[in-house]
Amino acid sequence: MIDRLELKNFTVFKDIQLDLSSKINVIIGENGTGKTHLLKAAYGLCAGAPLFKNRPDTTDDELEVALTAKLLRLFMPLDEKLGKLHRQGATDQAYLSAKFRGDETLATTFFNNSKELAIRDCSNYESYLSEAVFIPTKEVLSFMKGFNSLYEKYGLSFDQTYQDICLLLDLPEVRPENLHEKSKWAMEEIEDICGGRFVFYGGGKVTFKTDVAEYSANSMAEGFRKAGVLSRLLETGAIQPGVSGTLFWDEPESSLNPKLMKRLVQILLELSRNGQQIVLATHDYVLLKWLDILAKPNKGHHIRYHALISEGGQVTIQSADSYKELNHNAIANTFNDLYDAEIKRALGGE
Amino acid sequence: MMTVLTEGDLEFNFSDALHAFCFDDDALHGNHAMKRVDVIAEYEDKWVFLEIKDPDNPDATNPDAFKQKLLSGNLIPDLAGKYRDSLWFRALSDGLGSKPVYYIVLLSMESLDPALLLTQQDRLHKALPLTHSEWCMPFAAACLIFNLSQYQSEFGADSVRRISAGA
Repeated sequence: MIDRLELKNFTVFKDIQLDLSSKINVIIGENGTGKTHLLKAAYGLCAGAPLFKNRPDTTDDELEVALTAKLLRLFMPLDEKLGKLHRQGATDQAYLSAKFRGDETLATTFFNNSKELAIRDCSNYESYLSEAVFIPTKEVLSFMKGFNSLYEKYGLSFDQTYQDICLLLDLPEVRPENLHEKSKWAMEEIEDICGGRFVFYGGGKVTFKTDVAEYSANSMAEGFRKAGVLSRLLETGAIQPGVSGTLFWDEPESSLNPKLMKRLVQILLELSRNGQQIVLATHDYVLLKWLDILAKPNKGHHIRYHALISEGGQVTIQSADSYKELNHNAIANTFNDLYDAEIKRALGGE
Repeated sequence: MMTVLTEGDLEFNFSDALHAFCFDDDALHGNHAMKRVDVIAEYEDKWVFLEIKDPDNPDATNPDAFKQKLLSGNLIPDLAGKYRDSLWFRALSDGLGSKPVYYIVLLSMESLDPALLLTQQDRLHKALPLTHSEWCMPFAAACLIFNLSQYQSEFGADSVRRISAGA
């Protein structure tokens, strides 16, 4: 679980700090304010967990190489140069740091001509073993068959979040008796939403099964495939409340019918209440409003909203524990504009 | 006792209230500049402060001025001020007892869909925070912006009717 994130002179960010909720964090902001960059940077800083799990004796040098490769594959900068991620015009080094719940820390720097990240602080970082999950914007079930080998072999124009998620989806399922109660509940909810379940045969082969028939996963609505991804991540234990690392989800709303949003929010709230840290980036008013309405602090829910604001070429951040305390809410502002336009049209248009 | 109040083209039936009266009344207020909600109604278990905006009124005069008033930048401070001043006035005059106060704004405009009203309601909550960590009681129990059909589903199908539309 990440407690604090700090980015300086990195892509669009001059200097931002985020204190994250241990439950749900919602990143909002207009296009170009760096929502996805923020998610990817945080996800990249979690990349030590799988590394140290496989090789506890990983050295700092090896960690630098691995983190650099991760960042390059996540951000795909021009010419595959790390230095391109340095904020344009900045004179100081880029700085990325995360502090985790158990006092583990990772702080790294690089400059615009650096080939590799330099580690400035990695106190106890080797003991942070909770693996993060990143669900990218596009659903993946429709193209995951063979995707991993293609990704390894060719320079596909997909960032690494797509490969990572495909690998996680292909993991074997956890024994039912070892599944968290809330994972089972959430999987049942998703099965109910979709009217059936996605079945994973390995190698990326996925079908959709109802009580009476089995279909190609591609024949299912894209929104259902997206819900199916969440269900599978629970089934394989990649998401396990209280155990797994942070879940990053970039635009959960994309291709999801707004009618499904309430139930998705209920699932996310329930998983977070049981120890799953979640970081969402969204453009969607319906998702935001359901989070605002359904979150009950007296029932153990907590949501922190982080608004990225671009002013005068600078991206700053405002965080608030209540939706209504946000001063810069690009999504609500859009609805205000619509409201004003409707008033003008209805009462003698301009 | 059946209390019927009219505001422009809308007729309100407050028969289930203990009493209801037009608060936006010069005879009551004199010429001070405090803002006022249109109606205050007392029920067994609550007070309702009601502000009525009726752009759908077919006989509305001066629609341009009305439009200016309804644009989000003007509407919210206006609505917030009306509740604030009215609550203060009422609390200093007859008092409100211990009953919760509901602030209801009826914005009767069919072309505004619920999502658009909801965002204005959120902005009103920001201007009139219902609770505060330093306060020992909420400023209002709720603060809601309804369109005509939402108002009717909350207060009953007969709670309001458009006079020009007949019975």
